[in-house]
Amino acid sequence: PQIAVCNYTILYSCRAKPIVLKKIHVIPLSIIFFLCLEMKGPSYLSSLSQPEKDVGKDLDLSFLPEETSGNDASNANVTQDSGVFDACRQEESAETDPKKVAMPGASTFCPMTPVTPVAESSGIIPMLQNIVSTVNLACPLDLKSIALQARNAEYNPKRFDAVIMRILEPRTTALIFSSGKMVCTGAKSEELCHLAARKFARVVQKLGFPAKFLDFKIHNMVGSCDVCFPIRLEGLLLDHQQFSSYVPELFPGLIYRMVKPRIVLMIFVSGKVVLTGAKERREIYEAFENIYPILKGFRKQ
Amino acid sequence: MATVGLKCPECGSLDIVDDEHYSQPQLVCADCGAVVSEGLLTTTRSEETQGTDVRYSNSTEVDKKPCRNLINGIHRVRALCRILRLTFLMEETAETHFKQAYEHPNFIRVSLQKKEVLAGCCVLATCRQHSWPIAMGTICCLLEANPRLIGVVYQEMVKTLKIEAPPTSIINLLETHCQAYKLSPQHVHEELSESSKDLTKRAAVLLELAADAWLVTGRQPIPILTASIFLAWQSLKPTQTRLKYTLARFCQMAKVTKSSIAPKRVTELKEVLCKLGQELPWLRGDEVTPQTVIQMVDDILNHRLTLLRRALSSHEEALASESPDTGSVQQQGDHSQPSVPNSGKRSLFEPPSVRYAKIRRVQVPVVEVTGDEEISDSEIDSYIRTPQEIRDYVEAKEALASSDDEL
Repeated sequence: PQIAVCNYTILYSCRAKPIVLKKIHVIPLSIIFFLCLEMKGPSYLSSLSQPEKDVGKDLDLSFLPEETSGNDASNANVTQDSGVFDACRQEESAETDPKKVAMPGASTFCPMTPVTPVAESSGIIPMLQNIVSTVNLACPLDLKSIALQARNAEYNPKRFDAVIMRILEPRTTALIFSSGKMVCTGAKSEELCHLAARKFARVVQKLGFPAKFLDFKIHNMVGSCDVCFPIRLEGLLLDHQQFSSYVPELFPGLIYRMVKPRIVLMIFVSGKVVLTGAKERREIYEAFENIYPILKGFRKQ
Repeated sequence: MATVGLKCPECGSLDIVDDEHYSQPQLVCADCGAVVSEGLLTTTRSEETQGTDVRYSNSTEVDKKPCRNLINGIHRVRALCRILRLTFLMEETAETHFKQAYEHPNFIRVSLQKKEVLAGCCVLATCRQHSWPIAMGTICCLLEANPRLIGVVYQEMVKTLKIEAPPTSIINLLETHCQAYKLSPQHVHEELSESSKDLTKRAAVLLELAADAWLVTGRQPIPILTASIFLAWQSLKPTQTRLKYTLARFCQMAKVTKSSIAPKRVTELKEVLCKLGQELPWLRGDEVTPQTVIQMVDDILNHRLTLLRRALSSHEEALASESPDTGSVQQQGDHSQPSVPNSGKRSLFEPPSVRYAKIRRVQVPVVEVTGDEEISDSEIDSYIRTPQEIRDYVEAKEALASSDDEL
């Protein structure tokens, strides 16, 4: 996640202001390392000890200016706090310094979303607990007849004007509206959510409606994990006042609204953390990786 | 027709009209002229200005007169400020907040209940801005409203008005809360009375101890305040009379509202005190029970830092002696995710939610699925009723409906 954030900012600043590029004589050579990493995968980290000779051949970094001085000292853009970057700079500076590399436009540049999160920092991976999605069946539905013909449906128009249908595998619930729109909740992964939505659509089809499966979209993902140590919520509130809201009279947990990624975390004194508001799985992982060092700081020894 | 359903008592006709006899409103039967009912001859000033046929929000008044609910709300704000004995400046600030919030589109159309609660929330926000320690529970008691509703309205109000209202720390709340306890010699018996200052001092130390032992974070403040004041009162003069008093009786005597959670906090606090009391050197390892610990509270609090250190070291020794072989396993456990949280590293004081963790439902391992698999027909058919079932269901519903009609 740190890599991704860093990379985006530098990349976008380069793309947006090509004129300014000239002033930035030194493009941090760690970028080149990042790009290698992204193309070769996380296993690249393990090969740090061996200097890679043919980096330049795989990459196409035409956006970099022709003069790239190996001046490590004047690196203003990258934070120096991770040992990884320092190690790579030594190795890479010798190989990529004199090479003129070309970089295509951003269209061929794929975003940095590692499939498996880099778990070395915390060792804990949040588990997804709930996914909410919607799909359009694209045909008007007769809710009364659905409720009559289906075993797993409940319909109480006085309370709520939709049929509540449940299936056992995967254990999910759907709200089916008369307009043909459907909300599917309760799945523990994106694929299960997709499968469940398809099953609900198939049930509706079998009941005699010409249901389609359009615009399946995941709207919210909820994850939870345990950092395994108690947390001083009052201290966390004092330090991160602009992001946190802790009112013990109303709710026992601290509500932390992270700005990047835009996730809401509920942090409890027992060390359990609930993350919600994500549209993608990696946002949850990123948010947790961001909060873990902060929480470690409030671990009472 | 004035009112639907009104019948003239003289001739029985339904044609009743609104008519006025000079300034007295009357309901008159149009057929026989009998007066069915009449209104008051005089009206109050507020009725004249506000009791009109056209609703105020639909009227075309040019200069907005303050509506009745706004006036009532401002009166309520003033009353609350006077009950809490706030300064004149704070009263004015609270009034301004209330007026601003009331006129804001977020609040102009909410229910009357919320508007009443809004008055209390404005007072609360003002107190917090001026660092006047007031708990949300106090406002709750004064307004006799649902705490959840108060929370919702308070947060919305703070967001709407964009005011900075830093929450008060629990130690500041203690002093104001203590003053509510009527324990001076003029209220209670000589033996049971205690000065507010002594009580606050002792309770503050107990509260600090509770905070260190994870009894305060994440919990409602008022029950723990009550618990610490009760234990302070008992320990300042641990006579038999005082020790016999239960928390409920104490609250009754001090004319303070009872709380159902405070007894649990008392038990937890006594447990912490027992753990520390165990380390007192002159006890020489005797058991310290919650009943006997009150007499020792004085000594415990005076030497609490030393006792804490001793307790921690003896706890570590106990852990080490318990598991000499699993020391190597522990090292491996540090790298991988521990299956049982905090296992092997159980500290002396833990938040109660960790110690008495809820038994979770067994997590079914997530099956690897692509989401595009084939869906078997038999599975889908299992969710659809057979025609026989549908017939049975319809019959049963009709039978139920008919039996309901008979009733």
